[in-house]
Formats: sequence, structure tokens, C-alpha cells
Amino acid sequence: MTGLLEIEELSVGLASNQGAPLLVLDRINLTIRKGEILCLVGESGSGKSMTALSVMGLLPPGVEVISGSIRLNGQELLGLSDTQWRTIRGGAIGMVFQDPMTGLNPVRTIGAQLSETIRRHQGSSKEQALAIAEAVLASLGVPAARERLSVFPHQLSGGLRQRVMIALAIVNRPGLIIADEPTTALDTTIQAQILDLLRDRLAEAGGLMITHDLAVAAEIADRISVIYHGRIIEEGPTQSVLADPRHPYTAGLIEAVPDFGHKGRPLVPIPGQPPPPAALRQFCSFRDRCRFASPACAEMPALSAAGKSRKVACHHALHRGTAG
Amino acid sequence: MSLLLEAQDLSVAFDTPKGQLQALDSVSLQLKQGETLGLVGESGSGKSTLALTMMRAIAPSKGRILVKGQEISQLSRRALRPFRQHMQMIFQDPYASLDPRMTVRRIIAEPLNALQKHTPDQVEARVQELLQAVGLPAEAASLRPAQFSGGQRQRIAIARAMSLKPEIIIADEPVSALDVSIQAQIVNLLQDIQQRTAVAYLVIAHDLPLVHQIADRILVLYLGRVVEEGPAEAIVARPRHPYTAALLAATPRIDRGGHKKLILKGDPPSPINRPSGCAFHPRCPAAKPQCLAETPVLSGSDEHRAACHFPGAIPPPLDFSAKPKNRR
Repeated sequence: MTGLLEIEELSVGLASNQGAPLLVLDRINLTIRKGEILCLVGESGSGKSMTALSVMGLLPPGVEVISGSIRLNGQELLGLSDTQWRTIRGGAIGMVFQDPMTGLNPVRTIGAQLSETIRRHQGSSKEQALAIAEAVLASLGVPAARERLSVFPHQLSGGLRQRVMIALAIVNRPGLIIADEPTTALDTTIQAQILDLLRDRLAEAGGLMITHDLAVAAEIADRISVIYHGRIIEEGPTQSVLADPRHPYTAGLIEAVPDFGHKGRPLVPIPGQPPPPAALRQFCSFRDRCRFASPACAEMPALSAAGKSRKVACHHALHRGTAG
Repeated sequence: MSLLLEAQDLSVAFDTPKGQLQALDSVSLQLKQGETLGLVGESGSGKSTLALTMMRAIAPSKGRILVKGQEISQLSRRALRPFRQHMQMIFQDPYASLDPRMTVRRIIAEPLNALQKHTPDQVEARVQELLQAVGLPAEAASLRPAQFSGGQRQRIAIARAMSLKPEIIIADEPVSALDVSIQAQIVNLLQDIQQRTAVAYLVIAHDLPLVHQIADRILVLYLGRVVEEGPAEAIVARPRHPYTAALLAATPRIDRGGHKKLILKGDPPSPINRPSGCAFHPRCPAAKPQCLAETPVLSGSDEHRAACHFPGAIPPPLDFSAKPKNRR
């Protein structure tokens, strides 16, 4: 089956003056089908944001794609020119970032920013564009949408700014929406509002959401891919992965998070810390933190099938009841 | 158990170009030896202002702060010094709270050296003891913060806060800047230290599951006022204030079984323009005309109190009778 977004064997590296580039993503594979929300879950330095930036053609200077393929509706995105990227970003791909203060232009009104992207991608007149802008803000629950068109981002609350970012992302009806930690900077009650909105909007197209928070993924994702040290180490349907994690790292993350159920017992932390992003991958990257590690882990495990719609990269994949 | 730290009707107001901002309005709290009090609230609730006011970094406009029964709210800087030893603070961002030019030894020893009571050998011995207590190797003393990860830096900050054997530590979002797999390490370290030293914690956090995990009692703040306080278990299992119930319902959870949905509309109002009556009424699904007219006061049992005219109007969102999470 072909997907909406297909990332195949994607490797991304930091240019280095000592010959070979230092890999930060190592042969990543991800597929998102139409109408599906995939959450890429990982901690800082895991490569989750690098994956999103690769799909948006926005890798920072000094970081480059080494090999692999990223296809949107079958069209190869790697190697596109800057001009081609400009029609894709904001058109075929909508983007929502963590911090709306950096994702929005602080010196232009909300209306100007929305109508610019509408006119560029839909060829509308100025009046049409403003009408579309007002309608999309209203559909996202922005009160007094018409008046908001003439205000600047700093005049809005954090929750409203994030709604404006979502408006920018969806207004041209993109086939794919990428959201990078879209609720991390928000208060809990506002996060719930925004997750509710995003769930519907991402599912209308297809969504790639980046998050460090398994609980947020549980709220919104159809499928989860867990990334560790630049490699996908587990993937599968959300409920299945969270109820029955196969990788010791995923299981460890679930145990480490307070969830109203640990009161009176200490949390179970994962010892140590992740390797630096560009550290070499000679053995399983989780080996030194893993309580199941054995000599077999000197060999890097491949991501392979582990039950229905499930994959795991571990020599000692867990089965229900083996851990704890 | 003796009362270590107390706030009585504490109010803080700031003058801003848009008018007076009432950051805290008649907040009272008590902290006992060996106890952990969790302060929960969203942006603008006043939780960080409360921490800084308790440390006397912000002057209260009204009310009293007592350390072991002695009022410190009006003391001069010099007179405050002996109290400062008893109270230390840990901040959210271990990248900003440690001086990057100092070695870890100097960072940890600074409070000890400021006392001018110890010989260099005594200071060094204490530094080594503290490093061990927070799980860092002896060699760490000669390195600088940049050579450590976020979790390790927070360990350094904890060692520094512990150096004068304080009886109270105020921790403002102590783990929220850290990765999930590291947060549990620091939470366990804080609990460990408390068991060994009977230090009392005032922990400020936005993360309810975390606060429930570490706190004995929880205080919920909304727009500068305490809207609910009680034992951690009771607050989570039987919230009395609709805001507490809404916070619980809005908290994302890995295990979504038995989770009732309630999404509050709108943003919290500005503390400059407090709504009349109960400040939560514009967002409250259970608001009635009385809530616009009268400000509710904290009431209920001594243990568990809420400031609401209709406490318990919203059923508890978390169902603890459901089967527990599939523990592995």
C-alpha cells in the first residue's frame, strides 16, 4: 500500500571536517496514510525534530540528507529547488511549530499573514483572501475573528496565537500537516483545547506530530513511532504500543512518567542518559541503559516485525509479562 | 510536627501601565517538617510569585510570612540572613541557574563560604559529601556546568541548595526542563533526600500527575487565589472545585481508560481585570448567578477545603475504581 508520506531509509548527518559525516538520523522509515495521525515520540536529541525538518526541507545549515527518500503522494521531495519548496510548504504541507511567537511574523497583522499565504497558494483576490482568513479563524474557535485580522501576534494569548498558527497551516487545505510539539508551551487547559482542534484537522489530511510526551501521543495518535538516538526503535498502533510495549526503552518511558498511579511507590527511572546525537552507532544505542542487555546487544538490532502491525528493534523484545 | 513555614493572608500587587496587577490575593499556607506541599496552577496563577515572595525576593503588599513562628516579612536584608540558611531554592532551568564560569566545587561551596565559618578542608569535605548524596562522582567538583547534561546540572543545583542543611527547599518546576527519562531520577533523588534529612519541600509545578506523586498536600491556585487545598490523594480522587476537576480532566494520560472529558472554554482572564465574584465563573460549566456576585471563601473540612459556592458540582473526572493500568 502506498502512503501519503513515505520516508524511506532516510539518513541525515552533520558535515564534519574529518571525512565521513556524523549521522543524526540513521535509516529512518515512516509511512503515513491519508487520514492517519502518526506521532513520532522521542526525547531531546533523539532526531524527532530533524525528521520533521527534513520533510519540510528546512534542515539547518551544516545538516544534510545523506541518503534515502521522502515522497509525498509519490512525488520525491529530496532535491527540490527552493522555488518548488515554496509552493509545497504552506500549500501541500502545512506546518505548526511549538512556539507561535517564532512561527508568526511579529511585525505583520494576523490578516496580512493569512491572506499572503492564501493569495500565493490559491490565487485569490485580497478581499476573497481576507474572507477566507476570517472563516478559517472562526472555524478554529477564535472569537471576534474579523477584528482579530487587524491585530499583531503579541496582542493575542498563547492559546489564540496557536490557533492562528493552525489557521496558517490548514488554510490551503494541505494533504499533510506537520506539528512539532504544538502544545508543549501551553497551559494544561489550553493544551486540551488545542489537541481537540488538532485531532480533527490532522485527521482530515494526514498528520505527522512530533512530541516528547507519550501521554499527548496517547490523546491524538493513531500510530506511534518511538525514536531513540536517530533510529526508530518501535512502532505500532497507539493503544497496542502503550498497553504492550515491546522495546525496553518504550516500557521504561511508560514506567517513568507519573500517571496518578504511582503514589506511595518510587518512580522507576531509566538509568543514565541517551548518547549524544552524533555518537557512533556500533551496538544497540540503548544497551548501556537497558536491564535486559546481553552480549547479543553488541550487534545493532534491526527494526523488524513483532506481531500484528507492530515493529521493534531489540534482541530482547518484551512480550506481555516478561518485564517487571 | 512543628510548623516550619507559614504564609498568612499574603497579597502581592504590581503596578503596571495597564493598571494594578493583583498577583496574589490573601494566600495562606503552612509547611511542616518533612512534608511536601505542592502548588499547582497555570500561567498567571501567581505560583512563581508566591515562591519568590516566600523567599523575600518580592515584597508582599499585605500579609505575613513566618519561619518557625517568627515573622520575616518586614525584616531588613541583614536581619534576614540567619533565615536564608533555613530556606533554599531550586529553579526550573539548570542551564540558567548555575554560573557557567564557576567550577562545580565553587558553585556548591559558595553558600558555605559566604558563612565564613568553615576551614577550606571542611568545605571540601562537605562538597564531596554533597556530590555523593546527589549521585555525582568526586571528579565532578573540578568541572564546569557546560560539561554536564540537564539532569546532572539539576543534581548540582540540588547539592548547592543542600549545602547549608536547610530545613525548607522551595523548588520551582524542578523537573519540567528535563527529559522524561531523567525526570524520574530527579524526583526520586528529591524524595530520597527528604527521607534522609526530613527537609520540607514547597514544590511549584504545572504538572498535576507529578505533584500528586511527590506532594503530601496540594494547593491549587487560580488568578492569585487558593481555590482548593487538601491531601494529594483527595484532591485528585475527589476534587471539590470545578477548576481542579477541569485541570484533572485536561491532563493528557497514557492510560485513557475511565477518563471523562471536559474541555474548558476560553483563556484564563487577566489578573489585571479580575472577573467579579468567583474569578473562575466565566469558564465554569457549573456557574450560577451567585458566582458572579459573591466571592467564595475557602470552606469544607479542615483537611480539604475549596473556594466554591457549589463544591463538587462537577463529578470527579478520574475513575479510580476502574482496573489499574496494565503494569508490566
